[in-house]
Amino acid sequence: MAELSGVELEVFRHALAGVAEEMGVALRRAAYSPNIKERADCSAAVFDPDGQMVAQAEHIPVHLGAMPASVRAVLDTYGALRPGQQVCVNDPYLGGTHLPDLTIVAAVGAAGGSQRDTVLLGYVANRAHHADVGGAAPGSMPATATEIAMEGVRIPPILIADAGGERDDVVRLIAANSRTPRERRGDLRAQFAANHVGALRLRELASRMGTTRLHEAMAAVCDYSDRRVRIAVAEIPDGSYRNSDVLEIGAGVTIRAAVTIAGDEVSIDFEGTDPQIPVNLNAVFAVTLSSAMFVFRMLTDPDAPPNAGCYRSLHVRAPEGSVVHATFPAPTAAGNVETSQRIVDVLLGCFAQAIPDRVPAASQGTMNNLLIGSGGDHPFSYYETLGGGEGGTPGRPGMSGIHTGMTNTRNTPAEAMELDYPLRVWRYELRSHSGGAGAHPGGDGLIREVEVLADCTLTVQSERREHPPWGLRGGHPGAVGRNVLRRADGTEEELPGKGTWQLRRGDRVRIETPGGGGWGSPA
Amino acid sequence: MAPVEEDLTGAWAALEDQARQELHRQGVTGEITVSRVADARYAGQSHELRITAAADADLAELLHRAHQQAYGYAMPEERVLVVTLRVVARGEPVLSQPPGDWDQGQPAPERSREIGIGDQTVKARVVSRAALATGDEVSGPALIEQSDTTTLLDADEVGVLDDAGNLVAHLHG
Repeated sequence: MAELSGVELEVFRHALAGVAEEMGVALRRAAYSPNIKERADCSAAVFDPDGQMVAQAEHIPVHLGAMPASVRAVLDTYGALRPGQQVCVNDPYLGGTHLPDLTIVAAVGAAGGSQRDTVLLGYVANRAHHADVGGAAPGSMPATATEIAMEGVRIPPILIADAGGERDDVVRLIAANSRTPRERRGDLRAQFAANHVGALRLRELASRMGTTRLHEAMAAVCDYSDRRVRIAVAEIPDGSYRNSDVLEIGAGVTIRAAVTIAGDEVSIDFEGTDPQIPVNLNAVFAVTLSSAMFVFRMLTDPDAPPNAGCYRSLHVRAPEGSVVHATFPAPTAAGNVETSQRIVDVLLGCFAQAIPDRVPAASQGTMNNLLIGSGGDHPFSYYETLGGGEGGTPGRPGMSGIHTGMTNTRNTPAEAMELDYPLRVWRYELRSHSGGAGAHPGGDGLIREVEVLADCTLTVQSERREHPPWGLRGGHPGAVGRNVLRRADGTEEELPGKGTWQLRRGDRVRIETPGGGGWGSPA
Repeated sequence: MAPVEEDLTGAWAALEDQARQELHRQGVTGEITVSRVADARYAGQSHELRITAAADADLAELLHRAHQQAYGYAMPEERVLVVTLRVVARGEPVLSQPPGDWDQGQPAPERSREIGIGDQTVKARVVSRAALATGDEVSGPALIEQSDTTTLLDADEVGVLDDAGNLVAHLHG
């Protein structure tokens, strides 16, 4: 195979990453829902003709690790796609993560050539969180779900666009199963926009370089990442490192992991993890793999071009039927958001034994999912993941009020919330002194208090309300989070970490997010 | 912001009047060409596309085309909102003579100062630009000071103020 010079490699890797970046920008600009426009709860990536990920943008870690599995599922269902074809999927059991995340994969053909014999350059794909896809509560993450059928519409890989454009029948079916159909159509089309821009840019790249050279370069940049990451792995002391942590369900659901470092290879085994549960914190394997990839990348070479090559030296096993490798019909809506964060904590705890000077204390370890909405004639669906405290790191204190771990969304600005929803934001501030003390203290969480201006349904999915984010090397734990419901008559009740409730106009919900753990003993 | 069906004739006319008046104030007496630019989007989106519009253009149609171009699709059944109207007026000013009457404030009295140029220390004249008139010459080493910059003339340079108020530096010899 032809070699790339250092300069060619650098120019190419940025050109390819640029394709994914532009896809993300187009998606955000054309979208309807604040979820995508404001929070940027979406991701984009580029794949070679075999479905290997060759570039991604700095979007959402829990999406990006799982997207290759979606592409795989699409190709398994349809075989290689023809340029012009786009396939939509959200099924967690076929490469998805949770039902609101819809992935659309598009085949990209070289410019010129007839419809039938256009050369396949590769695939572009993007994933977006849709605000409502049906199910038992607005927002499609109901705390009452005991099986996936209660969480919303499940879409196996389905052709959603072809050479003739958008397939109106499929879009109509998806929209009809959402409480907010107009928003769904707008957002689905924004996903088409992202793929349109991605295809355009990939074709331009191929025209400049030639198709053969493009494919050689894709392979070379993956090989390059593999080499870099293996060098970093080899520097971690060999050994087997075990850790466990809990999800706050019932008496506690335990996740166990063993990280084994041998030379330049890493194996992670979740043997001993509790079985899957009739509560929607089950993680499918794609989510678990995503979480492992995040920790792995973070602690090896975070600057290596992000592609499939980064993970060749990582091998992940999880027992089928466990809460980290759930099988049908387990509900999964919060596995994606909560369980993924806990898996990160477990793995950080393992690596902290191997490389104690390089691992931060626990960050808030939850996404504090807040969902408010209603169906009917005036439907709306508000969804937000709230930032909190970052764990103190070996080099500096943790940051306050930010997204950490498997999420990287922005917040919904109060202005956007009040413009688009019957909501009023009363408080949005940092939560003083909630970070754990330490030589490098944990960052503070934040407080958000929202009043509802119409009768509606509230769902909260949160963790770290009982077990605080841990400190490391003598640092203290961060404060646990709190969820409070303040009824219109002024009475307050403490809410559990997870639940779905009916609200009346004038009620308020206040979420106080956890602080990060401290690193090192406090002075 | 307005729905595209609203009659925007008045809004465009007001902007064009404003633009023409500004050009006149700046000394444009000749032909003025005016072009219109609108920022528009579909109701539900938050990001506008910029479209250039001829006088009687159908803004909705232009948005559909711009959207198709940028994103690969249009949504003719969706409402179009116009968020910003812009008018660009172009005209060439005719200058029979260069302007020379700007107010540069009160000139400071001339003084001198020791300055370093290269590895030498020299005594330099320090002159206010506001004190100079057309035809005045200043020989270096000198500093010519004004509110927003300082000009250094080296020992072998002389600065002359031309009839447009420009300071032109010549090398001796």
